[in-house]
Amino acid sequence: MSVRLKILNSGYSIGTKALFAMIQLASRRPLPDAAKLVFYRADFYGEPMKELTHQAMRGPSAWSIGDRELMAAFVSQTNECAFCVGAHTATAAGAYRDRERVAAVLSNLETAPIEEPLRATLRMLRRLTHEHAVDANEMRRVLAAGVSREQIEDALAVCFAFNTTNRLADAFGFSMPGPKGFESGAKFLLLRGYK
Amino acid sequence: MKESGLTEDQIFELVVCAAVGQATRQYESALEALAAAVTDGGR
Repeated sequence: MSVRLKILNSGYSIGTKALFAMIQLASRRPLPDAAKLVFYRADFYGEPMKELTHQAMRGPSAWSIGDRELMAAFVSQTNECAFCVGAHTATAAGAYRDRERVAAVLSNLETAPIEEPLRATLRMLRRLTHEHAVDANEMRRVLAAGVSREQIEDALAVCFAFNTTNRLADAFGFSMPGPKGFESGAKFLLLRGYK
Repeated sequence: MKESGLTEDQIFELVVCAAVGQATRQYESALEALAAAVTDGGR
């Protein structure tokens, strides 16, 4: 069940509303709800979350940007968050320049043609997202697949960011922008990141 | 939630805190599991 808050439609300063209008004019598309959310009382949620998400998704990591966007899409699929699945499927496909790879993972992780370390990591993220906990045996399986401790920590940061964002997208009833809107958002995220 | 008399700002704060709280519990559980796996002879 979602609750669409009026403050997330119109509770912004004049300066922020002007910024929204400029972005809308430049992109020729309405600003996605995910972008609007981080401007509302930005000191309470938006600013720290933008910084955290940017670090997780674009900061230094042995995982590529495509891998991390795929993790975001996969976690979002586990949470059945349609907005975030659409947004990060498009962004992962753009980062990899390979739509089929992303579609294969989201269709069936076990048969998708991806590297085993990434597969083992995605399995662990799915369990963590679904059951809210994992044990040391699960982590040993990921390490045994050739994933470093640092890579696991980086993947957990992605998982944290999207387990937060998925809940907000669903709770606040984010509008679905459609395929062209997701493509446009993906281009922005690949160009500018999450800041 | 709106019918309970909460303001929209209060609902906003509650939803954000609930989302961050649940994601934090997951994250901390996973870090503990990772530390245990590494201590027990992972890498």
